[in-house]
Amino acid sequence: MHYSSAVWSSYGLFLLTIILLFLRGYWLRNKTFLFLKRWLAKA
Amino acid sequence: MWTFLYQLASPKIFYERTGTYQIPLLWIAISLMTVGAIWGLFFAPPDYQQGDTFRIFYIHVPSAFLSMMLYAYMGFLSLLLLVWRIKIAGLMIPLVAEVGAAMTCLALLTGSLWGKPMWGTYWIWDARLTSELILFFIYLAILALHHAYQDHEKGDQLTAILTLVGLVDLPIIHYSVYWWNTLHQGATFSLLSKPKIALSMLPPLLFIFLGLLFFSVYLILNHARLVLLIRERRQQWVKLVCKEGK
Repeated sequence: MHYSSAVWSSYGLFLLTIILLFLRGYWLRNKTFLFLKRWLAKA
Repeated sequence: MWTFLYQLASPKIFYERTGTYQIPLLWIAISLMTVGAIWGLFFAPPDYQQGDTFRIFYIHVPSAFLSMMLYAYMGFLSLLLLVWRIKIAGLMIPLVAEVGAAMTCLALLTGSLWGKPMWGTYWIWDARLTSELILFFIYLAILALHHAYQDHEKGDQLTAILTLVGLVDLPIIHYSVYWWNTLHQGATFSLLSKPKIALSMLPPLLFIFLGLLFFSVYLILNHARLVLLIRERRQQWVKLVCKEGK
């Protein structure tokens, strides 16, 4: 497949956006439960 | 239907009900996007004028459409908060804005990559491009405003007001290609007429659009449930959720 770099870059950006958004959700989940467990231990 | 929606306004019921949809939504989204991307890259026919560069269309159009659709949804959430005082709506506005900003950024970048081979430039201060860039700045302003307030109720309300003000940009983006002479092409799809694209080129677009839509809903629900836990942490049900770790 001899597509131009613009095509591959676009699909790469698409993949990168999906991965980053997913990882941010995963990181937020861990951060939230860590915060809540500490807060509940203090309360 | 209305009973179901009213029940969702309760934080505990919202948390429980949405939890069951999350994982199926994610898998449906990944499947649709994978099929769409492979179809768009390897099986869709090339355009007779643009050749294979046209394949950027399958990323650019769904992300640009979602950037506007998510903003319209934020407008609806703002009305729910300001008129009907539904707190979960206020909580969701900045979460939708995060995903919307990512989609707008993707649309601008892929549009720029498409612009270079077709127009000979990555960027031009064309009406469509500029109004979409303004939408990106509005998303950033909403996020900045929301994060500036520690009192989340006040932050939610001001964010909702700013969101409603920013709604004026949506018709400008949509009609920019008709109101001004622009390099950007006119709309490929409209509600009242047939699509201006060959039907054999259409399926990857639908797959990627639906995939991105489901993925956005998954992200928003995931984030909303977490913010809800923090805001409601003094409630007994949150303590139970934390113990179970779900």
